Amino acid sequence: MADTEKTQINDIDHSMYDFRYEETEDFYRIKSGLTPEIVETLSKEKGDPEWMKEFRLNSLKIYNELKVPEWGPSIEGLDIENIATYVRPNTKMQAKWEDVPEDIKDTFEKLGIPEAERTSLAGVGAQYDSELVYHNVQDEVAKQGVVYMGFEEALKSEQWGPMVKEYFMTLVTPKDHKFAALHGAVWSGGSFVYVPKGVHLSFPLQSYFRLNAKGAGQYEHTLIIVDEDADLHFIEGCSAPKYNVANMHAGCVELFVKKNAHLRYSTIENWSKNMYNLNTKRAKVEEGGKIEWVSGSFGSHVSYLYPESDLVGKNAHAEFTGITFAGNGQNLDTGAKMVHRAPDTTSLITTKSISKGGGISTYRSAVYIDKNSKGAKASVSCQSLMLDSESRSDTIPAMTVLTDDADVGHEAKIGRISSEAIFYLMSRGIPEDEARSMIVSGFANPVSKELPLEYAVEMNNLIRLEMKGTL
Amino acid sequence: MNIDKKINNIPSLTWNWLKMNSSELKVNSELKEKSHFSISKIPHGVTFVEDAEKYMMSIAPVETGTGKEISAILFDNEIIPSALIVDEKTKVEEPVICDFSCKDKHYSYSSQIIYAKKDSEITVIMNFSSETKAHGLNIVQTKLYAEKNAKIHLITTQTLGKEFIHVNDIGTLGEENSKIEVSQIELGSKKAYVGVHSLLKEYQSKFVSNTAYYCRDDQELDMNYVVKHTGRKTDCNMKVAGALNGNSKKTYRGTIDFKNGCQGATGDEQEETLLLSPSVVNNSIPVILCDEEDVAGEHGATIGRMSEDILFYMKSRGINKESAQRVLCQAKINRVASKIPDENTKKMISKYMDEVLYE
Amino acid sequence: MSDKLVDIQDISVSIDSKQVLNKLSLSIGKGETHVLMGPNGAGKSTLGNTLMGNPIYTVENGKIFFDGQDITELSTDKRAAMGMFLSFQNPLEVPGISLENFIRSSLQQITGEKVKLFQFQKELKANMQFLDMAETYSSRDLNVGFSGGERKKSEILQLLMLKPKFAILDETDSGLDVDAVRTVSKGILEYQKNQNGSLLIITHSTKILESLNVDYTHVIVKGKIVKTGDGSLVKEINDRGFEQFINQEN
Repeated sequence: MADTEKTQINDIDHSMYDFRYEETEDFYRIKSGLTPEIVETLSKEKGDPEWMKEFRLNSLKIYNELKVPEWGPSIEGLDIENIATYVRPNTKMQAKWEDVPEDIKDTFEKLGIPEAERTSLAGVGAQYDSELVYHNVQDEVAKQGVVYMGFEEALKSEQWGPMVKEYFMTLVTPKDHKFAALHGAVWSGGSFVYVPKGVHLSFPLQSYFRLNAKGAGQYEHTLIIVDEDADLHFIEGCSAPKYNVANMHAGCVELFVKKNAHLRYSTIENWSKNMYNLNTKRAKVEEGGKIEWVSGSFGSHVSYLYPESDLVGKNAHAEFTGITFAGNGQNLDTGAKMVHRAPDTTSLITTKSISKGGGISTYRSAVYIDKNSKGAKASVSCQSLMLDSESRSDTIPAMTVLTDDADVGHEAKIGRISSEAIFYLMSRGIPEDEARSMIVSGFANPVSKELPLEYAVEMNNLIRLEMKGTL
Repeated sequence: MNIDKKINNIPSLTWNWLKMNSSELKVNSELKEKSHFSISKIPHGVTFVEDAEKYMMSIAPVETGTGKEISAILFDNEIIPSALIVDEKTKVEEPVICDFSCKDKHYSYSSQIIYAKKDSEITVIMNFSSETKAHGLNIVQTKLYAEKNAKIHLITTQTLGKEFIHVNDIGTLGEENSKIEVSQIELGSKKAYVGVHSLLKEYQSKFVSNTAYYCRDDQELDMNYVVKHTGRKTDCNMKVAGALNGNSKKTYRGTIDFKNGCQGATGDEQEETLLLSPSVVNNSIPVILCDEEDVAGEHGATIGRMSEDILFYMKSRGINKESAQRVLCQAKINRVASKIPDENTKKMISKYMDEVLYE
Repeated sequence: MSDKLVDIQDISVSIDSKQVLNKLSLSIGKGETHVLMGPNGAGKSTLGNTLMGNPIYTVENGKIFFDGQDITELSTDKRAAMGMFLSFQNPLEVPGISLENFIRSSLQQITGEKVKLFQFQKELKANMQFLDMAETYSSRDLNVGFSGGERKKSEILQLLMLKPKFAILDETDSGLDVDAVRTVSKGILEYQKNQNGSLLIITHSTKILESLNVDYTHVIVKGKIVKTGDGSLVKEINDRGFEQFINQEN
C-alpha cells in the first residue's frame, strides 16, 4: 500500500489521552476466535522459527485446558473468542523519527515521546497495535553493547535468537495461568533488552504501548536480561483511548537480574477505562542482585496485576512501590508477590491505594518464604484511602513462612482523609477541593518520588484530574 | 459416617496455589453421640436448658466461623443445642464452667447457646480435655447472642490428646451497645480447627477476641476469624499470639468486613507468631474488606524468631536460649490465661504448659 | 456595625451535643493584642477553633463578624483569605507536602496571585533563620517527625509568611522548653511590630506574654467570659490563679 491517508483525530472528553484514530484500510486483522489454524497463520506471517511455532501451538492447547480463576474481579464483559489478535499498521520499522508517518507520529507526539527523547532518554520502542512501529537506539547505547530491539527482530536475529530461545517464557510459563497460555500462543511485538556484564546505563530506557483498533488485544512480550554487575532503569508507560467494545491486554514481562546486577522497572499504567488489563510480570533475581518495581495503576476497567519477584540467589533483594487509583467503573486488583528461595534474601512492599466514585480497589499480595531462605526478611506496608462510600477497598495479603530463621512484618491501614488535615489546610486558605487533592497527592508521594520527573508530574496530574472527576 | 468437608472458608478468595482459601476436615468416624459435659453451679438469674430446641429458630441467623458445613453436620445428626439464658439486668459474678472431658475412641458433637438478655452479663468457661493418648473427634458449635447493653465473655481452653481432632465453631451477634468477648487457648489435639464469626449488627456493639496457642510436634492449628460490621460506631479488636515448634503447622485467616453504612466503625487485628524450629509452617492472611468511607481499620502481623535483643538481655541475666524460649512461650499463653476468672482452670493450663515445655 | 476587626456577638457553641460556649461576646479592634486565659475545659480552644470555622463545632446562636462581614456561615478557607490565621495547639503531620510548598500554596490561594519564587525563598530563608529553624526543614514533609518545639516554630513561620490581619494563637507555648518559648515570643513580637495585626493569644501559662504588649486580658470560665481587664490582669492571675473567677460565674 502506498501513502498513509491522513486520518481524523477524534477528541473524546477532556483528557489528553482520550483520542483515537478511525480505522482505515491501513489496518487489517486476522479472523477473530482462536483456532490452531489462526495461530499457525500468525506464526507464518511473523516468520517465526519452527520452535516458536510449536511453542505457540502448545500454548494454545494449554490455554484451552486451563480455567479462568474463581477469585478476583469478573471478566464476564470480555468476549475472548472474538478479539482480533493481530492488527498491523501500514509501516515498516523505522530507524529515524522523521520517517514515521504523520498520523502515527502525532499520536506519540501527544504522548510526549519526542520531548522524552530530547531529554536524554536512550531510545524509544513504540508499539502501535501489536506491532512495533518505531525503534531508535541511540549510538551511545549501541556502543556500550546494550542491545535494545524489537522482540520479533531479536527472535529472528542470528546473534540474539539463541538467547531469546533460552529465556523466552521460562519465567512466566504458559502453564502458569490461562492468560499466560494465551500470551504464549498469540504474543506479538514487544522489546528485547540485553545489558552486558558491568555496563551501567546512565539514563532510562523507555517504551510505550498503545491499543487502537476495536476489539484488538495486545500481547507484547518484554524480555530484559541484565547481566552480572550491570545496571538498568527501564520505563514502561502506556495509554489507550476509549471504545465501546471490550479491549484486552495480556502482555508478559520477564526480567532476569543476574549476579550483583541492578534493575529498576517503572510503569505508569493508564489504559483507557474499558480495558481488561491481564498483564503478567515476573523477575528472577540471582545472588546479590536487586530489582525495584515502581508502579502507578490508574486506568483500565479491570486489572489483574501482581508483579512477582523470585529471589533465587543468596542476598537477592526486591522492592515494590506502587499506587492504585480506582475510580468510577473500575475494578483494579493489584499487588505484588515476593518469593524467597535462597538465604538472606530481602523484600519490601509499599503500596498505596485510593478508591473513589464507586471504584473498587483490591490489594492482593503473597510473601512466600521457603525452607531454604534462612535469614530472609520481608516487610509489607499497605495503606488504603477511601474517598467516599460508593467505593470499595479490600486488602488481602498472604504470608507463608516455611523456616524459623525469617522475619516477616506486615501492616495495613484503611481509612478516609482526616478531617483535621482538611481543616488545617483550609485554615491556610486552601479551598476544600484543593486540600483533598493535595492530601491525596501527598498520600501518593512515596511512589511519585521514585518515578522520573515527567512521570511524577504525569501522575500528579492524573490524580488531580481523577479528584476533579474529569477522567 | 465419614466427614469430608471444606471448612474455615475465607470470605475473599485468593490464589489457589497458596492453599489458604479453606481447610479440609476429613474424618472416618464410626460413632456419633452428643458430648457429655459437667457444668458448675448455675447462678441465680441464669437458666440452663438441656434441650433448647425452642431457641434454635431465634438463634439460626447467627453465622459461625467454620462456615455452613458444621451446622449441616449437626443438623443431619439431629443434635439439639443446650442453652444458658441470662435474665435481664442479671450481672453474673462467678463464671459458669463447662468441662468437656472427652473419652478415648469417642466421636462426639455438641451444640451450645449462650443468650444474654438486655443489660445482663455473664462469663462462661469451656474446657476441652482428654487423656494424653486418646483418639477421637469433638465438634463443638457455640452461638452467643447479646441483647442490648449485654455482655458475654466466653473462654475456651483446649488441651486434648495428641490424636484428637477438635472443631471449635463459634458465632456471635451483638445488639446495640453490647460487648462480646471470646478468649481462646489452643494447646492440644492433633488437628484443631477454630472458626469464629462475629456480627456487630447494631450501634456501638463491640467484639474482642484474644487467642493464644502453642503448637509442637506434628500438630496443626487452622483458624478463621470473621468480623462483620453493619452497625454504626461498632468496634472490634482481635489479637492472636502464639508459638510454633517441631513440625507444627498453623494457618490464620482474619477478616474485618466493613459493610456499607457502618459509619464510625473501627477495627484492629494483630497477629504475632514466634517460630521455634526450622520445620514449622506458618500461613497468615489478615484481611480488611471495606465498603464504607467513614471507618478506620488496621492490621499488623509479626512473624519470626525471638529477637536478638531479648535473647541478649536474658543471657545477661543467666538465662540460656532454651530457657528463654520457654519463657516466651509461657508468656504468650499467660497473656490470655492470666485473665481467666477461675483458679482451677488457670492451674490446669499452667500444669499442662509445664509438662509440655519440659517434656 | 462596629469598627472592630473581630466582633463576636452572643455565640453559643456545642460539640457532639455538648454545650461549650454559652452566649459569649468579645470584640477585638485593629492592632489590639488580647489574651484569653482560663482553667482547663473552659472553652478557650473552642473559641479559637470556632473563629476559624472548625466544622466539628456547631454555632447554635449568635453571630461572628470579621472586618465588617458576617462570617458565621463562611467556610474556613475563605476566612483565611480574609486575613484570619490560627496557630494550632497540636499541629498535624501532613505527609507528602513539603513545608515550603505548603506555605507557597497557601500564599497563592490567599493573595490570589502567583508567588514570585526567588523573593519567596529569600523571605522564607530569612524568617527561618530568625526563628532558629534549620534550612533543611523547608524541604521536609509538613510537620512529619518534627519535635513539639519545631512544630510550633513551623506555625509561627507560617504566621510571619502569611501576614494575616488577625492571628489566633492557641496554646502556642505549651510543651516548649525555655529556648523555644523565647524564640516563639520573638516571632510573635515581630508579627506585632511589622503587621500591626490583631492577636488573640490563648494560653494558661504566661511566659510567652512577658515581652509582648497586652491591651486586654479576658478570663473564660465554663464557656463564658467572666472578667475583662488590661495587661495587669495577667499578673493577678499568675499570683492568685483562677479560683476567684470560678466562683464568680453564674
